[in-house]
Amino acid sequence: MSFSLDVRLSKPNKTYRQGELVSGTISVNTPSDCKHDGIGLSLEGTISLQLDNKNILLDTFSSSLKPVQIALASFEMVKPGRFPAGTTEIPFEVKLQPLNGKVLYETYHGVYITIQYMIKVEMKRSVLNRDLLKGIEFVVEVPESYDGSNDKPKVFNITPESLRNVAETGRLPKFCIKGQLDSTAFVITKPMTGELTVERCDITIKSIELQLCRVETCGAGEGFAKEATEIQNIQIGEGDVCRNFPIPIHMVFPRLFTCPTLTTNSFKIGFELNLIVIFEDDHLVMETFDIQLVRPK
Amino acid sequence: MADHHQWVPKARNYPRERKDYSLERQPTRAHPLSGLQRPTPSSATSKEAVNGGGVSSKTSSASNAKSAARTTGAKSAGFIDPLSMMSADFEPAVVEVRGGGGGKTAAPLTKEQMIGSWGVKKESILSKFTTTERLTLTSSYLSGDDRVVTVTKSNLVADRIQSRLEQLDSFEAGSMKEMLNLTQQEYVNKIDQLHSKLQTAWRDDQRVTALKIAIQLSKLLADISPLQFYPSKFVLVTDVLESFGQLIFDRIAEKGGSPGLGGKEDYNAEAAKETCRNWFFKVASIRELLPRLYIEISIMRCITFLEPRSVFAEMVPRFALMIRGIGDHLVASYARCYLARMVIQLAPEILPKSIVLVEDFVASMQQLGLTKLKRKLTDQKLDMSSYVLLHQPALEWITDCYAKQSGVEGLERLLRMAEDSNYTGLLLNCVMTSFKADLVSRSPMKICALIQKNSEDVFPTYILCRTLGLCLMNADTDPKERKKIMNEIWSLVADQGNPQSYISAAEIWVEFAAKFFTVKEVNRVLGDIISHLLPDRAYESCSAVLLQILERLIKHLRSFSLLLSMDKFMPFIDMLQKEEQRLEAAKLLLDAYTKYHQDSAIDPVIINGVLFASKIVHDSISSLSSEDEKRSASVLVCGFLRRIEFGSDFERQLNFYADCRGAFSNLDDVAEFLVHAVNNLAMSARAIQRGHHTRKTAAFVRACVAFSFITIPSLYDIPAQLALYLESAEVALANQCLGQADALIKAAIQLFNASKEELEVFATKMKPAGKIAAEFASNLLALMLVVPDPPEQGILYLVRGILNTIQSCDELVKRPLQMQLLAYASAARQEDYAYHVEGIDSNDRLYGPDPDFLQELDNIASTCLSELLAAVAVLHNAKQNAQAIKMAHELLDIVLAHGDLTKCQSALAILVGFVKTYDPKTVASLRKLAESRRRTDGTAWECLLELL
Repeated sequence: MSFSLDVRLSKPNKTYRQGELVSGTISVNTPSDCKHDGIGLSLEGTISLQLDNKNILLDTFSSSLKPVQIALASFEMVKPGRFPAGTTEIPFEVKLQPLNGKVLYETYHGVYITIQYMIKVEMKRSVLNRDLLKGIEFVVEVPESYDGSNDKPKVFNITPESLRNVAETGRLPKFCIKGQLDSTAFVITKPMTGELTVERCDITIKSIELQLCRVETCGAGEGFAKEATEIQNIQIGEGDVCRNFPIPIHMVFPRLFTCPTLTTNSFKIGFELNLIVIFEDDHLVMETFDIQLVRPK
Repeated sequence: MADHHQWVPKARNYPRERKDYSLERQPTRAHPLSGLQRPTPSSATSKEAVNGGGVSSKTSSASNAKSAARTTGAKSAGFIDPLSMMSADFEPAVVEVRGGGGGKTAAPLTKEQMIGSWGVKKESILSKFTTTERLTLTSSYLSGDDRVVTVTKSNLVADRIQSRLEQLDSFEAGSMKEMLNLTQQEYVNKIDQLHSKLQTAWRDDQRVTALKIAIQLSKLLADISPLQFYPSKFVLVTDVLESFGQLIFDRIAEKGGSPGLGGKEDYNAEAAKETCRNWFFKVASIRELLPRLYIEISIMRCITFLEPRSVFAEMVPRFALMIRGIGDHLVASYARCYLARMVIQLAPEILPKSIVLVEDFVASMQQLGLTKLKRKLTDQKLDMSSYVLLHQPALEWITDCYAKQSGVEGLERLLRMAEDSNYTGLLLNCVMTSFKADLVSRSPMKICALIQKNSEDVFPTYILCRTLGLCLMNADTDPKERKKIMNEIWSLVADQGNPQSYISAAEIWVEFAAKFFTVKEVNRVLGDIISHLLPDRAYESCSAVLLQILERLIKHLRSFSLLLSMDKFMPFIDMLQKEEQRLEAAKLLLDAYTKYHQDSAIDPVIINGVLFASKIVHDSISSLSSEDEKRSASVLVCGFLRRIEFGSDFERQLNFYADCRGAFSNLDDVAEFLVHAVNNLAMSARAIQRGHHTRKTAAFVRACVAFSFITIPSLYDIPAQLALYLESAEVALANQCLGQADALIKAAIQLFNASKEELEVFATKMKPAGKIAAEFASNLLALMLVVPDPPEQGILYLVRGILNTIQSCDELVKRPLQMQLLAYASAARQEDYAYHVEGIDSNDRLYGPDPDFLQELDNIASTCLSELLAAVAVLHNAKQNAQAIKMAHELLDIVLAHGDLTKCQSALAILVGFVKTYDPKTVASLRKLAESRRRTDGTAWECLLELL
């Protein structure tokens, strides 16, 4: 048993909104009486943009892409002194609000863009001991008003003719896959829904998959980089599915890796859905849908 | 030798004692056992019932002797005791071995029953769907072989590190291993291994590992080859998944979650909910459809931590739709089955929605065109109906679920679906098994028509016929329709080419005919069966079913005259050719005969038939047969013999018994039964003659005794022989056959003398050899009291034989016998004996107060007493005090009961002195006894009081 410092939030799901009090406890556990030079607590919100090293075009930006702080608050929780042996619990409470002139965005962990909120606790100690640092991430949700005006079903119809990158449609097997997404703007807390029917397909189908991608755009105006990466891939049809048999499209949006579609001056986070049909011979047909994610109030 | 003690018995006045010591009696109106349904007639109860006028417990050995004499007639086997007569009014309980409904259960079921029925189904699937093909299993959590990781204790650090690293390698989760060429058993073992790995991982808080194992397991279900094994594989894997779901559920509950809303909202409950939510998110992100589906269904129960139960009504249809995404029909069928299983466990209220599952099944199968399917199956070397049968357990379960909540409309709906489908037979069969029999049998003609429509190569018609038969058996259909159906179906059954399938369907319809029609129809059906199975000796391969048919026939045609009146019955039985099957058949027949045979009229044909069957049973017993086999065979044969009554034709009865003795010589119990029966016969003859035999009846009775005399030695069981000798001697005595009685007693004594060393063989824990001997001696001496001395021999010729035998006995056996002898000598010295046999002058009348006779008795008694007292002293000297005290008490009992206390002072003084010193606790009770007795016969007890 050695000296330990721990932070706990009072909400099990660690989810907060702007203006709410982020509360919790710091607990210090020490086997014997111990001296310290004070404990400080800070709430930090940062946006970090990382750029792909290989992307030479954007090299010029990289210098300017330091993490941006959007929320910061720090306090001294405990004055320098001593802790008695045993566990000492210190409750805290911090109001979640943006820095002046900044806006809070939702927590998001992407490849190039990360929006992260932390509670950090630092315990300063005498010269001989290292300072102890403990951080805990919490999740921020930013609901916005959403009127549902974009909420229209998106009907699709995939046939050899609908493909764009094929020169000779004549050589393709005949197929016709119809379906619809129930909307193009999905509420992030609810599953994405829709359905799909293989009306005709002359070749054996191996798999039908849904691929959810994030599209991250860094920079704005002239020099920007846009990268689409997969978040999750879900199979909805396995093997040669029955014809004329509607198959549900159903996907739960993963937490942390998704956030409501976001557009700011310096970066954008958007999402795409790829519907992929893989045939027996490993050829595949893909249809891409832009989808918007919202978190209504 | 110790001092000589003189024994003087007290003079008894039996009639007075009886009056003085017997308890007060009251007449009773109610039969003590009338409340009981089926009292088991046992000799013990009968003894008590007859021996109602017993004497007080004080004269224990005397009462023993009396009861032995009184039960002379009662011990015979044919005796019907008054208690069992009461129960004879009851119809013998018919044990329904097999319900005809084919495992049908009556609704509404409790939750346990619903799940329980899956257990039954599970077993049947596992035993039915097996494969000899080699299997492949892919998993990263199994080491390639079952090598045990042994950590060799090595001093070298390098070695230890090496083995540590190897272990790490073998636990490395990343690498997928494919195990080829597994036998089915190995495969099952591997799945079990994975199951235990999963549970270990779970216990070790390795939740992600547990989930990964679950995913890998459910992936196995995507591989359908070999097809025949798939249903079993499904059962194995889903068992694990189900328990995985339960693990998660329990874990969340443990953390503080409460199913349903309204739980307390504290931090723990919130945290538990969060954990639960995390599980759902985690599972929802599983890439592949099949694992995601299976695990989502498995953890479905956990949703109740987050949402109200009504959410099932949204989830289940979604799963049902998701299953449509599975391309392979078999995989999809079983996924539906799993969903139905969970629904019935978790949300029975939405069962009616399971019609979607049936519809999806039908629609998807419909797309699987017959020609396409055929092409597909040729690769698997499987014919179409076998493939369709693979779907049956899954579909059956789904329709079971559906049937539970939907009535006639549901049935009709499914029947319509069946009619339109390519797979009529499969659906129809599931419908018939799932719905309650009386629902199904409402429109039998319609189903009949559908069966006729069924195409044989898609679904085997015989199964349909069988199932329909099972349904109709338990339902009341219009009798007119029955005949029509029978005709329609039988023509289908008769068309079956394969004898196996033919007989499997015929089995049910024979019973149908037996239950609802007359012998004539059954006979015709049997004839048809014979003509089907005789060619190419086809019956050899279906003998098990033939036995079942026999069983079913007997269930409904209980009368043997009916059975044997069918001219096809014996030829049918003849088709059972193998030894053990004939035996089984014989047992069935016998069992039925003893249970159901009612008419007392003796038909030689029937007797011959049953005798024939009994012989088969008897002949199956050999020296290698176990005790149990022998016992069950004996029970069957005796049961039959007991039924055979020729009324007043005693000669014939005796002849019959003699025949039986020859026929059933292997069975001890039967021989024993025969002796009892013959003794009973002799006693019945005596009863008819009212004790006075004519020349003819006397000869008959002697024949009976002779029968016993030669039958008894053939027994193996010596205690039984001894008992039978005595019983027969009693019978002989009662019938004035003095010579025979003497011979029997002599034989008994000789046998006892010769075999007293072997009694250990028959001793049990409850009945050690000493007790067997004592019991025998007690009965023998009780009988000896009334047996007059044979005129051509000296005084007490037989008793001296006993005396000699006793002298050569082992010490432990000898003492109780001597005590008995003491009691006997006392009783035999009385002027008028306690009991007599009617028509026989016992020694009291034979000798009168002949001094030689009395002297002889006194000598015997005094010797016994002296030796017994000496034995007590020996035991005492050998420091075996417990035994010595026990013996002293026993002896004191005898002395107090039989001795003239005033004249046996010396012995009494020794005994009382001994008891006083070593067992002072009993002195008080002795004193009490003496004081109470002093009132009735004063002086004798004064002596005892003085000593105390």
